[in-house]
Amino acid sequence: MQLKKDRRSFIEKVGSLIGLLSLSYLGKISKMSFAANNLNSTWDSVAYNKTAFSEALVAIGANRITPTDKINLKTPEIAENGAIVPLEITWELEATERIFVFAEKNPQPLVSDFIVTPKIEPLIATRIKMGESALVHVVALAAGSFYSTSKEVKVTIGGCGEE
Amino acid sequence: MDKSVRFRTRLENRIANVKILIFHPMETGYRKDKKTNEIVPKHFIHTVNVFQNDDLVMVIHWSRSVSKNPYLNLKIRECSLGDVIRVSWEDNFGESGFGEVKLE
Repeated sequence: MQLKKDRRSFIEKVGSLIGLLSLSYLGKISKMSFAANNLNSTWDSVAYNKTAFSEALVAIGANRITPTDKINLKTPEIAENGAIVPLEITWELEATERIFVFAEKNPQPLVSDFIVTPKIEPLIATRIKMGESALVHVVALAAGSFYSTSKEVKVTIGGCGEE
Repeated sequence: MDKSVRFRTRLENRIANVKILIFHPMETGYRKDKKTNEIVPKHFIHTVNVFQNDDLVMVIHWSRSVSKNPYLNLKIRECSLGDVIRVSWEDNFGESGFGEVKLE
């Protein structure tokens, strides 16, 4: 009798262990498929070569964009040297997959895009070049929709023909 | 490992704060060489991959509008002491570079 009880509890334990393992395995698979869907995208020569901001937006598939205060863009108001304009981007949007950065009046406005996974904290900082004073736009793709925030940066010396 | 990638890292509450500097001219293709008066061809990194150990955690695409010697700051979750952060890059000339740092 005692043996039977032990056996039952053993089987129960094994069963719950298998359950737990398969759950964590499923979690891993969903993370992996996330990575596979997004991280494989290559440099988009069409979008990066567009010379008009509006066309570059269409090229990345952002036909409808919702302005949001859930993306924060930190830049200097005045950049003395357009060759080095520091940007810091933070966001509070759920399920953010991708962050695009545009300098509206650069010869090719799309400057950069970041493909983020759930392993990444919502913060990115980088430095860009700006040819002239212009709006800098950050466009985020989150849960299939596009959101944006913009900020004007005044440039004293343009940075496209410089080093 | 080449010397094109420099790191500064800090691990706090299992979040790795990673600052990356890549030595690269990032030529726009609009700049004139002052000596020869000729246009310097565009030469820029288009793709950067960031790994935590063997897992790809972020992919970055750049245009020629990213500053010379590009700087990048990002934070990676669920990191531990001894994890290795790896960065690889590729440019439009087909050149590439790689760097790694161990979290301490």
